[in-house]
Amino acid sequence: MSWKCLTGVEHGWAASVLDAMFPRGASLPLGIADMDVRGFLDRTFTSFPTEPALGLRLTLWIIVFAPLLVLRRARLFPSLPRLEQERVLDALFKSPIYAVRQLCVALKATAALLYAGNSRVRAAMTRTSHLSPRSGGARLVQLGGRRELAV
Amino acid sequence: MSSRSERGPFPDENLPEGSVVDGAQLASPFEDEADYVVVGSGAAGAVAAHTLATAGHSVILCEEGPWVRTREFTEDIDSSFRNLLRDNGLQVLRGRAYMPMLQGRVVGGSTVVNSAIAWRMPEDVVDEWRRDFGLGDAITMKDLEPHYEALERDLGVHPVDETVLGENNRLFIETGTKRGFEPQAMRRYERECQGSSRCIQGCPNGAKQGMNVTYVPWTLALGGRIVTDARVTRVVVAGGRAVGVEARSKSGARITLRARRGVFVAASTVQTPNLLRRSGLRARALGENFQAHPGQGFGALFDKPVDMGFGATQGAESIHFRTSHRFKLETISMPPELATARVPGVGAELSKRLAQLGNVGVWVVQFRSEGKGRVGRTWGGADRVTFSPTAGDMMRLRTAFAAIATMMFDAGAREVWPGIFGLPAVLGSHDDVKKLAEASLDPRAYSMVATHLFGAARMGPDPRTSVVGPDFQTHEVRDLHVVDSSIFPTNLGVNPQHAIMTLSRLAATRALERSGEIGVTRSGAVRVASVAAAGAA
Repeated sequence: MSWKCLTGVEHGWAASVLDAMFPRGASLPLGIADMDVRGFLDRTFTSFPTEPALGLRLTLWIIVFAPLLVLRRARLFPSLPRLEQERVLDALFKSPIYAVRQLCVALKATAALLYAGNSRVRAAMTRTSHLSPRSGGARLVQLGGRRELAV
Repeated sequence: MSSRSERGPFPDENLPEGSVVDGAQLASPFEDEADYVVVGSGAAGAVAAHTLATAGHSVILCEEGPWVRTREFTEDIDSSFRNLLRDNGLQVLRGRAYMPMLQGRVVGGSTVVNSAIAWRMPEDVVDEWRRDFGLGDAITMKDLEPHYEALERDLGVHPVDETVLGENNRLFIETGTKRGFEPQAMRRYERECQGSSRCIQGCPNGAKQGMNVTYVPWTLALGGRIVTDARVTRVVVAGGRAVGVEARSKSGARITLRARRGVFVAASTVQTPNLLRRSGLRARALGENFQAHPGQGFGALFDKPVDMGFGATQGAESIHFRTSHRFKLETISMPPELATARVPGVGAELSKRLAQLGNVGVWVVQFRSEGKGRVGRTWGGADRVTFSPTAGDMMRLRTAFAAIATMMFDAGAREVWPGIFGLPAVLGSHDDVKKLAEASLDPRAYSMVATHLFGAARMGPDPRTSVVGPDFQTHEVRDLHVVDSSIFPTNLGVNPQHAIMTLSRLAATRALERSGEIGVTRSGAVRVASVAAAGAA
């Protein structure tokens, strides 16, 4: 195990934070908690260069302790009810401090590799209706006055 | 439409025996010798290697990354980025804002992960180089013409076929036409594109004509060799001329490649300057004048399917504003993993929007920044690039963002997601577009990405202000040619792969001409380096 990997406590925090970002029971068939978050994070932290790995770890700490500043309450992020967790995350994504909001975006982008990479989630996300543009269609659009495209 | 795998092997299979040395497997020191050693197998390196090999020279390519074969490409971004990109795609430009920059680190370089967009160098750029950077007649449109033609023939350049255009691109062309932005289907290097929308992850059909399936295997077919997973630590200089390179394999083995005639460096704008430094070059301009084309995407949610999972990853563009405002508009179909980060919200709100990703399109502003940065090294020796857009860039960006958002609403978008700090996360109508005029001029308010990198080993006649002479050789070391975009005096305002390949081909051709060998006729016909002529492909 790489020295860059999260500790057990940090893994617990990460599970809580990512679950709040990509929850179960919403509009998609799975939440990130249904996936191997721990294995993904271990693999990610091992393969990431040192600086981004440290940045992700710092993000986790910022989010976990953010309720102190955002909600003015002496509680850690994992112990908050879901709506308050979302409030905290929303505030951090809109933080006036550039580093804070960028780190949070980086964590979201990293977690998206796992979440949106899941085949069931991916299929549900990219599902299109009966009007799929793959099927071609009837209408024609004039292009540059000479080419026509079937759409 | 049949897939290539049904028709036969891909060009990166069944390579000549002994032509590939896998640095990940090397257990002992490795030595080899050839007429030329080429550092890097991307757009610049592969073309130079092939040009030299076609003229009958022995060539060894040395590539820092592995050779990931067409059949090994995967759809998921996590493993694709880990296997194909430098630092898992986590490199950043540091300046007023942190800006990710993506570079391929694999056989074929960034051509494996880009969208294969072919743009001839605009004439105004060639004029600027001649007028403002002392290049005179060293590079003229007439010089470039036969090389463009050969490359376009070899790599099947043509506009995206309507059958694989896809809705994201079609909508862009339709609405841009109505607005008078003169959009067009992109010209790309591809043969029989299946519209898999997987250019970024490596084309699974071998349709994209990246260097991994074209000039690299064609070079090997001509007797060339390639050492993969081997990082060049320095160019060896003796008697004032380049005589080879030293490298270290992924497995730790020492590699020595001797070059009888010269070394071509094509390691990229970021890696080339630091390689030259490690090789003892001390030009004052080394690492300076770095430029880029930063870009930012806007997502839009439509009431109808857009299906970014089908069609050319990037297939439509407009250069209507290139000369007046220094920006280009284009499409990009993002894989779900990358699109997710651009979707506003968290929790249930995010989930609701993600469930409609099939109705989302992404269009991009890419701008010709006037900013200049620097390529340097950290204390540990890693590459470090500093760069910030200028205030003028940011002013022009407001116009660009307004143009994109307007087009999106014209196309029927229900929501537009600008991703700009200080503005609403969601714009809901044409009226909201006005808010973009008040967008911050601070680069930290944006989420820009830099994909096209230039300069840092600039070409010019004066050794005090440039690194490479108009003959593509460094001022300090003879037979040390630099042929990647680090030599560009400026950025271009269009996608650079074609310009990079063309200049590399010109550089290799001129090296052959200088050595008195039969090469290229100036009147048009190119007698070297055409695959068809060589019968190599």
